[in-house]
Amino acid sequence: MNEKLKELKKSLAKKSKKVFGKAKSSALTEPEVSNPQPGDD
Amino acid sequence: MLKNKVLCRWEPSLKKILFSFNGSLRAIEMSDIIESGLENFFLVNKDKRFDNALSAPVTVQIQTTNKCNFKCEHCYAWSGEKLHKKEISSSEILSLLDRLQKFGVLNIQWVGGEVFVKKGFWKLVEYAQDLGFEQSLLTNGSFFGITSKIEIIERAWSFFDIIQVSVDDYKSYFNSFVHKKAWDMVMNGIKKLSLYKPKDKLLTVATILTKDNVPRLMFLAECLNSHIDVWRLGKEIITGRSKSTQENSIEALFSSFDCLPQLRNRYISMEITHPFDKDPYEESELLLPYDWRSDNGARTFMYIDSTGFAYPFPLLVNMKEFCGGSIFSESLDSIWSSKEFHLYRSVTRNDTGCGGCVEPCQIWPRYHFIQGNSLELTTKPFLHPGCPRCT
Repeated sequence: MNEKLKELKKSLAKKSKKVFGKAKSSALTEPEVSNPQPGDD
Repeated sequence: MLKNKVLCRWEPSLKKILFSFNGSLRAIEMSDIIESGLENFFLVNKDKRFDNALSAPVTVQIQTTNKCNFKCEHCYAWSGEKLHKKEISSSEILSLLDRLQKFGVLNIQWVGGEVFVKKGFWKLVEYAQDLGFEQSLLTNGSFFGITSKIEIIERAWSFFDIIQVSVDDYKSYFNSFVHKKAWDMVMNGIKKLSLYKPKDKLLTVATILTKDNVPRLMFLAECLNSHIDVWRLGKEIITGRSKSTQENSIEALFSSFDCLPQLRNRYISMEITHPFDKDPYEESELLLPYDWRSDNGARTFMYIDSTGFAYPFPLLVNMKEFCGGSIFSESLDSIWSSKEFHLYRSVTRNDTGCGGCVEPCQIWPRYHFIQGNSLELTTKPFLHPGCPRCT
């Protein structure tokens, strides 16, 4: 994926909602916008 | 093939657009997508099919091969030297990826065997990236340990949001049931992955708890700490090559839970997760029932084994009653709609032991109670520390 699309995705993430609530193992890697879950989703 | 588009899909049960960002599933209004320019997106439209599952999985785990350079004695997949006679080829996986993109899948998890034993694996990963999938990797880590080429490590991080390495014991104990040089290979791999890991990616180690390895968790933590983001401790599942018993597996859970406070106090660079942990979540953010994340099989997740058979979850591979069919003879939609998948998703947390808990622990999913080739549903509470219903 090119840089332009990565930026687009990042800006969308700011407007979006997490589909699952905050998981225990979240908030680890992403600086400002999201909570990636090291699980299956 | 449609290249260089953001992969997303209309999910009718949420009335929102779903997409994946750094391995996390996100939902957004259709109007935001239109505003950003529709030509930038590969948007899949779905119709509502179920009340207890999404219209299609968001994550599909693909077993590229059952062949592995290690032969762990507890492997649920029976992985080892032997190749399945009718193993899926790389070109078949490429065409599967096309189908998964059109079906609305957003995330691909690659798993083996050992993925790097599969000839042409990098081509699969490149193709998946071109199609717009986010990807994660489950590996034994040895390939990264052996290679002297740093560009391979950097290449891996350019594709994968999460890399998870399995380490099931400490030094010679690990070697004794995996491979005589396994520890050095795997730890080298972890160190290299850690050194070149971009800030927004995640390096995870998964360890299956056994009666034998619990006394050595502290030593293992000493080696992993400062290299990884998350250390996932898991219950041994009594299936595949495992010779353990449900009693031993549960005993390991209890004794390891007792060590947790000490481990967490001492090793603060990594987050340590345990199946008995309560899993707090922000209800205001929650769009899907908690159950769907905790036991995602057939709700948001599908597993395809290296012979093309699809299951709700990898640990069910030996159970025909949950096999939704073969990707070679069925459409992805008919697998997702199959009675076998419906059977799996029809049981909720309320049907299991910890069903009444407000803050659920992570032990309740049904696959924790797999015994041999069958699934044992718990109808009475599984009492354990950390469970609000028990304490």
